Amino acid sequence: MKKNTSAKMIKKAIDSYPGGICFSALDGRVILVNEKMNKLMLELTGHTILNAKTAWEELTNFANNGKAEKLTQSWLPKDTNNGDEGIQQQLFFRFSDGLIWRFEMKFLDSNTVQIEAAEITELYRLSEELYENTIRLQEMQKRQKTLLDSIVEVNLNKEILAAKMHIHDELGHCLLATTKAISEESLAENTNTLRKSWNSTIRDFSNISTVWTVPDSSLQSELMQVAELIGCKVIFLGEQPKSRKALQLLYAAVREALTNAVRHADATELAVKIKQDKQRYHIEISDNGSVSVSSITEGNGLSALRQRLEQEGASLKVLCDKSVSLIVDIPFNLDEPQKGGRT
Amino acid sequence: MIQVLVVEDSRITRDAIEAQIAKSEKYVLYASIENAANAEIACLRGRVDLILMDVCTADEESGLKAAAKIKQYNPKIKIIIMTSMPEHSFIQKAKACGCNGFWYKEYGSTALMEVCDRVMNGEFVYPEDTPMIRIGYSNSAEFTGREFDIIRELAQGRKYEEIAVDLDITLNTVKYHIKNILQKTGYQNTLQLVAEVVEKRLILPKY
Repeated sequence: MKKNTSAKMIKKAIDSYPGGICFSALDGRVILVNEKMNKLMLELTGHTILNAKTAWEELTNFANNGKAEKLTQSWLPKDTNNGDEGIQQQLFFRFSDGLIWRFEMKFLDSNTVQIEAAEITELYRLSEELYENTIRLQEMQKRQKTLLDSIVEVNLNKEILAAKMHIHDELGHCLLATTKAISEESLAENTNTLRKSWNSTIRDFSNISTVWTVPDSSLQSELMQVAELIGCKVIFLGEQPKSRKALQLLYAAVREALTNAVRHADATELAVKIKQDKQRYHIEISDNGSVSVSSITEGNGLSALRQRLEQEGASLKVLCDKSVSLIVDIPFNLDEPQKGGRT
Repeated sequence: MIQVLVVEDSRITRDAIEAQIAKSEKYVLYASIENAANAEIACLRGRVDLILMDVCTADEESGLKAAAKIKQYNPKIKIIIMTSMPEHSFIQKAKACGCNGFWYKEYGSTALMEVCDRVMNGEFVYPEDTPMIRIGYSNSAEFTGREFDIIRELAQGRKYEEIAVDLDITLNTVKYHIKNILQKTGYQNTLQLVAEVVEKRLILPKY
């Protein structure tokens, strides 16, 4: 085996390399370049590599020339494996034969620069496919989330449909039995059975409400009724928020205040004062409880309420001045929540 | 008489339950409401003995969360969770809240009033298992607890990396579980899987 490798042999070896490769000094003087790199550069710039630095600048400022096209898509398969081995730049070109080449420039050491060209047509095709699939999946994911949000309503409708089908069956059964009794002239004998069936079906009918969904006003009305049931009157002063989201936050706060007022202070009345300025609702909730306090320890209920309000961009303050009052600020614009994490 | 609070947002189901209570000689209706968030307030003056609590109630309020709060301050109140959803975690959550019974509206053969009687006699009455739901080539009983955790995360729109962080496992473990789930069910991708799981209500992340 020969110990010394001649310059001719090195050149022959790198010429047999299927990609393009060029080594140069920092100022661009070419140390070694293979045939493939020169061939690619000839097609791109009209000449072989004379100075590597100038050649790279030409590639960076390349304008499509009919023989090749520069690619700039964000999803191009960039090689990041050698990220910390030297400053790296990558450029992508589609040649007239349809093949895609990636050109990569990196500093091998403080004196030597390497430009390498690799054929990545298949990788490019797969990256393009992956990108299109990702976009498609993101759209499907959005639709999925919408479906998830409406799933309870869908289930409620399913229950209603089941009830309607039940009544339909009962009604059909009564009609068939009655028709049969009339056609067979046995109405008198079956009067009692038919009467029972019809009465049962009519009872089912009378139980069906004409309003199938829970109306918005139930947010307030049910809470007021429950408060009255336990002997604590809730009095609202001022105009209530219009948006459903703001109302939900208001009633979450009222529920918490009502629970604490009855449980800890045996209150019989809860006052909810609502004021508004140009940007937000300012709500003060206080009670007529018998217990005098100078400070309170925030429990699970108040902490959970605070968290819920803050997630939606609202805020909560607890005032202790003999009795406890909750001060809630709800901005008009709740559509841009100030959430810290994922939803 | 045993005072019963009914928490149910479906008018028809509520009417049916109220009718059964009215027929009974042991039970009397204390109140009937649609929103689980109001249930804790209804129990404040200590007049409720038994709550029949739906899981998915008005304004997307969770009956399970309400039950947990009620049990914290009123452990003596008996609570029976009712649902028509085969969501696999509901039974486990109801047990964790200390609920006394669980009743499927559409599955099983036990009547609601029978469950009420047994609960009021001090029994904990739970179905043996969640109803079996077909998911692709597999059925819901064939998934492991960890696989359900992964499906739940997928249903919430989490990316693989986020799932790994949420469940404190490696990205490769997430991929391993997902590969197993897809093999079991025969689906090509996780979106097909999630669509089926959500459509059949096996996973309801909000509750």
